[in-house]
Amino acid sequence: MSGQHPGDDLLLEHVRPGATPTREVEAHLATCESCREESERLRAALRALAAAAPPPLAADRVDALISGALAPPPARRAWRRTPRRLALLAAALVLASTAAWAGWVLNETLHARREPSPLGTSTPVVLPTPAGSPPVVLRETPAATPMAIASAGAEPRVSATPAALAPEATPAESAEALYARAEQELATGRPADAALLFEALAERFPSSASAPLALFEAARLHETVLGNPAAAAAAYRRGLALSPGSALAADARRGLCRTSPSDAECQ
Amino acid sequence: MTGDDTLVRAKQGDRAAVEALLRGELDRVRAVLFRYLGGGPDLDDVTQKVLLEIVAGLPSFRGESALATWVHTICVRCAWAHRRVRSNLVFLDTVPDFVDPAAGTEQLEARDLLRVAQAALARIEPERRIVFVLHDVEGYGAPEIARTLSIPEGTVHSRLREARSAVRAFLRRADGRGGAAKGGVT
Repeated sequence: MSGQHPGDDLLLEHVRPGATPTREVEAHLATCESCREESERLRAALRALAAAAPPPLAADRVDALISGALAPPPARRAWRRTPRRLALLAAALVLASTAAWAGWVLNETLHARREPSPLGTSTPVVLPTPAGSPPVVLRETPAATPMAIASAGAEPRVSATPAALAPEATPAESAEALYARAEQELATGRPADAALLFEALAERFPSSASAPLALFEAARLHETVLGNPAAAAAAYRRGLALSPGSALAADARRGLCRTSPSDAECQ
Repeated sequence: MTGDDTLVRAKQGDRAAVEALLRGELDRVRAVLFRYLGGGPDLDDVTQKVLLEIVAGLPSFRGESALATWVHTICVRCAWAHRRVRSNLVFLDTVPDFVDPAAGTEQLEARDLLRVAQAALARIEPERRIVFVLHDVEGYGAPEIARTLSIPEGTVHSRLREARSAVRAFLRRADGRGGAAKGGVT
C-alpha cells in the first residue's frame, strides 16, 4: 500500500470527521508528498463545508417563517375540513374521470375502426354515454390542448388536459416574475403548470441568466414528476444549447442521456 | 439553544414556548439544510417544511434523543423528500461559473476552497450528495444513514463511493492536477 496511491474511497474515508486513521494510508502519506497535500486539502474542504452557513435572514423573513409554522395557511386545512371544498374536489375528480373515460373510448373506437383520425379533419366525434346523460362530443381545438369535451349542442364544458388549464405568461412579466410564478405553481402542487412557465421564460428571455436554469427545472419536472422523457430531453437539449459551459451543463447532459440515450450528445 | 423548561411547555402546546423553540432552532435548521440544498430558493421552502414538522411532531417527541438530533433528523428527511421535486440546483448563488484549472493550491484561499467544494457538491445528484454530506461532512455512519433515509446500507456505500469519486475528481481539476484521480486501492 505504501507505494500505491490511495483511491477516492480510502482517502476520503481517511480524512472525514470521526474516521479512524488507516495505518496503510498513514504509511503512504508519510512517503508521498502529493497525496499528503491532497489529503490535507480534502480535509480542509470537508471542514469548510461543515462550517458553512447561509447568509442570515432578515428579521421579517424570520417572522414570516415562524408565523407560517405556527399557523399553517388556512387553505391547507380548509381543503380537509370544508364540505364545500370537498364537494368541489369530488366534482373535479368526476370531471377528470369522465375525461379519462372519454379519451379511452375514443382511443378504442379509432383503433377498432383503423380509419384515419376524424380529429384531423376537425370532425366532431360523438361518444356513447350512460343512459340519461347528454351525449358527449369530442372535437379538436386550435390550441395546444389536443381536444375539448363538450355536451352536444352546448358550449364546451371542460378541457381535460393540464395544458389547457395552465396559466399563461403575460407579456409584461419579467423573467424573474415568471420564475417566481413557476416556483409558486410548483409549491402549490402544480408541476405541469410550473414546467410550462419555466419553458415560457426560456422562450421569451433566452439570453437571461435564468433561462438555462428554467429549462433545467422544466426538464427535471418532466423527467421525475410528470413522466415525460421526450419533453425532458427537449428541455435538457435546449438548456445545453443556451449554456453549454455553465455549472449546469454536466447535469443537463446527464439528464439528456438518461432521457434520450440515442442523442448525438451522448455518443 | 432551547432550555428544558421551554421544551416541556412547547410540548404541552404553549404557543409562546413553541415560538421560542422555533426561533432557537432556526439557525441550526438553516445551516443543516444549507449543506444539502445550498442557498437557493429551496432553502427557505424546506426550512418552512421543517418548522412545520417540528410543530407537528413536538407533542409526540419523547426526548429519547437530544432535541438537536431530532431536529437534524427532520431536516435530513425533509431534504431527502425534497430531492425528487427539485433538482441539483444547489449553491447556484455561490458556485463560481468558472474555476481556473491552472490555479494552484496556494492561490486558492479558504473562501475559494469553500466555493470549489460547494461547486463540487453542486455537480452531484441530490441522492448522492445528501449521503456524502451526512457521511463525509457530518460524520454519520452508514448504518445510521441507512436507517434515517430508509435505504439499504449497500446503497449508502455505493452512493458514497460515486460521490467521493466526483468530489475528488472535481477538486483535483480545480487544483490544476487535471484528469481523473490517481488509480489505486479503493
